[in-house]
Amino acid sequence: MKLRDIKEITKSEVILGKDKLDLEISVVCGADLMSDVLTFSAENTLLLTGLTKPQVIRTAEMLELSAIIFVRGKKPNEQTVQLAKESGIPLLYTEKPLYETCGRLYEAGLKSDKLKGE
Amino acid sequence: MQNSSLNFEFIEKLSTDLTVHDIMTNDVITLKPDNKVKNAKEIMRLRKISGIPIINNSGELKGIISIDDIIRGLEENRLNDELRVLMSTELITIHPDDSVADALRKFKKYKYGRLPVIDKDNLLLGIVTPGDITRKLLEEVERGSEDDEFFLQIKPLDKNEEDKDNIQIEVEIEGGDFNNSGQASSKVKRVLKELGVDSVNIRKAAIVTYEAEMNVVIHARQGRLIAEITPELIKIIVEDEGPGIEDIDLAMQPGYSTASEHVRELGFGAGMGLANIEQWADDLHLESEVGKGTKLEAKIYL
Repeated sequence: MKLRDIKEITKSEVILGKDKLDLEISVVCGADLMSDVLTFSAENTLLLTGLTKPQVIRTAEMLELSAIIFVRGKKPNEQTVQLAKESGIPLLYTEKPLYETCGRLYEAGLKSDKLKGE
Repeated sequence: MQNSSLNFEFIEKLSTDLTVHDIMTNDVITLKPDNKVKNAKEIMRLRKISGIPIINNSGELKGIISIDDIIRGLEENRLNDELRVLMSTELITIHPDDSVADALRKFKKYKYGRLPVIDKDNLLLGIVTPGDITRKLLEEVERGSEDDEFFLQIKPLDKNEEDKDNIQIEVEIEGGDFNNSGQASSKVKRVLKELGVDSVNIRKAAIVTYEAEMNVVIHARQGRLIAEITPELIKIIVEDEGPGIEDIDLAMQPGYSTASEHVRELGFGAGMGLANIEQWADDLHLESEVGKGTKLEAKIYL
């Protein structure tokens, strides 16, 4: 599914990376705990999170996540945006809570990646 | 390299070819204008540095606090004042694209011990000192200038010609420096990419280095990340000077954590770090001495 469609489904606004809405997303991960995110490992992953600290971008950079949507109407600070700019990671945000954002995408056919070992 | 390369023309050519970007230090300790003078004094004492750039929340350079300013603060009993009142604000700065020769000229003219490196929007990118220049020039002289610029940061594991496939990278990690946490791992990841390591193993190595780096930032005073890359494996060593781990088996258990609330707000400190490392590394070895530090050694077979 394209990031453009995900933006519509989750009612998100783009913070960074308007030109990257054609990115193909095949896996979604929803977590506020970066260590949990770091147990994921898949291509074309979108991260949904309520955490807006720069550590989120670093984590995304390590895993080569494709894009990030901040949930619950949270917007990242400038430092976080700047880091994302350097890493080339598109950022979006939605007013919807994490549970609903996940639910909307799951319903639309995006199933989550299985944790390693499951 | 021949001895003849040590001549003046060689140095001169290097200093005009190299840019400030090539030599500057990126991992700079910074403070905010509303931090106290006494904080700056302590950081300088502990880190043995002679000046700290002061940036605002957007990362724009607002001033520099130097040892001279601190001495003035001590004399005037102003250690509890905010840095904004004591910091120097008339700054001589330099841009990343300027040549090393430009930097040398500025050092000579203004007699400063460091120059902040800023971009066109006044955002602080790094800092450059005369020591950085000397070190870089020496490196270049030793190694010749034909190497790819990127690989200048990396040294072959062995001087032996046959072992030139083996590469070692070493990056310092500052304890408590959450702003820059992850930079060491980013560097290692870039090198692995450059070397053409496959993406699955890069991701494994990135997770292992990042979690280990976060552990140093969270728990230790300082540490370093060493990555050795051979055609067969990536060996990651992260060692620190810190409190050490009392019970390694307990620390390895998912969910066991001694991290502070602040660390948890950053999305870490949930006691998953070592468990994650164990999950992604093919081989993991931990040594620790309470009160001294910890050494982690992880291997990923290629």
